[in-house]
Amino acid sequence: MYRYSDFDRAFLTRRNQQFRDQVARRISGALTEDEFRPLRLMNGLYLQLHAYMLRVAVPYGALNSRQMNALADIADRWDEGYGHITTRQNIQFNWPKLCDVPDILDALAAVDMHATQTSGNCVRAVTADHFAGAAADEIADPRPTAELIRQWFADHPEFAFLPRKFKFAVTGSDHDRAVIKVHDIGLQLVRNASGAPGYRVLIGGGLGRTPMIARLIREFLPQADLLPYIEAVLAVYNQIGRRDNKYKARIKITVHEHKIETIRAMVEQRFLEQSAYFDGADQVLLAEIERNFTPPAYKSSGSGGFEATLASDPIFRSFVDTNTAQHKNPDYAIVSVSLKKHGDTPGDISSAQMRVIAKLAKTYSYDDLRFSHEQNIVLPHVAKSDLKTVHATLKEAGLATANIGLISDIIACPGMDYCDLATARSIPVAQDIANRFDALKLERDIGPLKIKISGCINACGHHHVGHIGILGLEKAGVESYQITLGGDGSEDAAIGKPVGPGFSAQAILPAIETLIDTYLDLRGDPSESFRALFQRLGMTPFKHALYGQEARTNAA
Amino acid sequence: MAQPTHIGFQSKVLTANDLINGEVVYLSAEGQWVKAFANAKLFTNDVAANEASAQAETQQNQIVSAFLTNARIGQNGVPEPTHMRERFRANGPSNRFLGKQADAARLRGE
Ligand code: SF4
Repeated sequence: MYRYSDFDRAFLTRRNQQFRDQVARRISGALTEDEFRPLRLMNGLYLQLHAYMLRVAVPYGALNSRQMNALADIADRWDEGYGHITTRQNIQFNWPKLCDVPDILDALAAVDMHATQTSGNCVRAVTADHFAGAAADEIADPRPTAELIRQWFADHPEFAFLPRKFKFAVTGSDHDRAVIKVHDIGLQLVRNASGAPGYRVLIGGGLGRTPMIARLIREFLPQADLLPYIEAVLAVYNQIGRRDNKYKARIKITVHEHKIETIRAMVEQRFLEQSAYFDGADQVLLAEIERNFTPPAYKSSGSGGFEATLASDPIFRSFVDTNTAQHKNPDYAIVSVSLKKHGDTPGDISSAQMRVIAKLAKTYSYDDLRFSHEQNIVLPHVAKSDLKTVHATLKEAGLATANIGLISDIIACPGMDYCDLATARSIPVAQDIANRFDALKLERDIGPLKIKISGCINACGHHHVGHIGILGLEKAGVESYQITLGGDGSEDAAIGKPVGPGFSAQAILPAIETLIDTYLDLRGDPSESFRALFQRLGMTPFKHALYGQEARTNAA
Repeated sequence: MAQPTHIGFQSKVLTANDLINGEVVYLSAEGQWVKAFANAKLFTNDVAANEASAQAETQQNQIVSAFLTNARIGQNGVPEPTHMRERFRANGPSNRFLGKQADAARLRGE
């Protein structure tokens, strides 16, 4: 876990005091909204459709029980008793009152949290693999790197006004769970031939209006060169990134327009200059950070009857099948808590559920829990001998839905139910799909499948990298949903392509059913996933199924 | 229902968000910021609409981001939104019973 120093705390206290004054001046009318807007955005406060929204930073999604309990208290005291976990591994409160926000920020600061750099054209909250420090396939823990980047770019004066927002993602495994290829900078921790630690560096990935897969800029960057190198990337971008057109301002466009070869040469040049300013203090800092991320002292109790329970309890077994992943310690498991109970809003969690998970994390997961970008929660270190108890507790709290990685484990952005920028709703589409396939009892038969839904072209719901992506648009005053296929957010990242004309709100669920029926009909055997089948057969059979005579009448 | 409308002018209401709680509000015929779309003043010509809009700019300590939005007189004889986004703003989210719909229910004593 990261630790705040006295300096950090003092800084945050001062910052919160400033914002308290700014809010007071806004309420008195001394500040106009034009003056106040950038100030509130710097503190994570947005104005959405029905109310303000406070976006709280959760560095790489990691938090402890104290912090989770504080979020629960905030939800109860100043909001509507719940929070919404986003694809940025953050949490959003949808109903705060302006006059309460300074108190909320103080409550966050009391547990070393804040809402800064969750908006604006700066380096945003760094995301990382939600299985960090636990995954069996991990080469190195990405969190110290993520934390170094976070500290380095916190309030970094040179990069406070970039052409556009800037997002880092870090993974420490070959299997990419952090979608690094659609970030402005994606870092993969690797070792070179002689075993030295370093990074594979990708730049220029992104979703939104112009989705792009990141390009490789450096095959191997020695660990000690990280900060000067990424500063060089940011400096080049800061200099030549487009400020004339908001839609062309992200680094993905800079890379696209100048070509990766040119950017690489510029970055390497700048890197040489930049390196001169680094005297190793950053590596001392990294070493210090690493000490805060030492693995917990695992108990060696064996699996404590785990196998026997597994064999005798089918509900527990199905939970373990989908919701646990392999831990680096064979006596442990990584537990994913699904926030996708069929029919519920993806990513929403009540204050009571927050407290249940906080307690579980404290008791059974070394006080460590994570928000995943897939809008679920991870308990990273649960002893197999404790799994049954953890499962039972989750079940009581309505948190034991065994659907991780299945069709109902849908990412959905807030869409037009909340978001000011939306062109259509996302949440009800997710709810309908989850309910339908639950009723059909087909989920497990369908197997691994990622559906991702965005309520506008900004693509917060990552629809481009969904195996099935759904983009909500507005057409002639009504909602229209465009389906993309062929997307993938893993190490084999790919941008999905539209399958054809969009579907009305009434026709989108039947269209998804048609896609699934087509897949089930065509797959060679049940081990061939939707994604694998798509790679084998391509768009044609799906297109045909969707836009054959009958389906065409439904197309909006 | 017939309404006096300047030719070619789509009638409108002036809407904003309350400064303190962010709630959606509408300008009423009495010049108050009210919570229900039904109680909004319907502007049927752009001179009056733009005047009200300019006037709203001076009410910075009450409201945020005022704008004119299309409206029509609905079946119950009161203004209603013509666009789906405004219908959501006028009601609240569709996935949770919160916001205006919940306030209205509370007022009705439900
Ligand atoms: S994708 Fe669009 S609708 Fe969804 S949260 Fe992002 S901006 Fe809002």
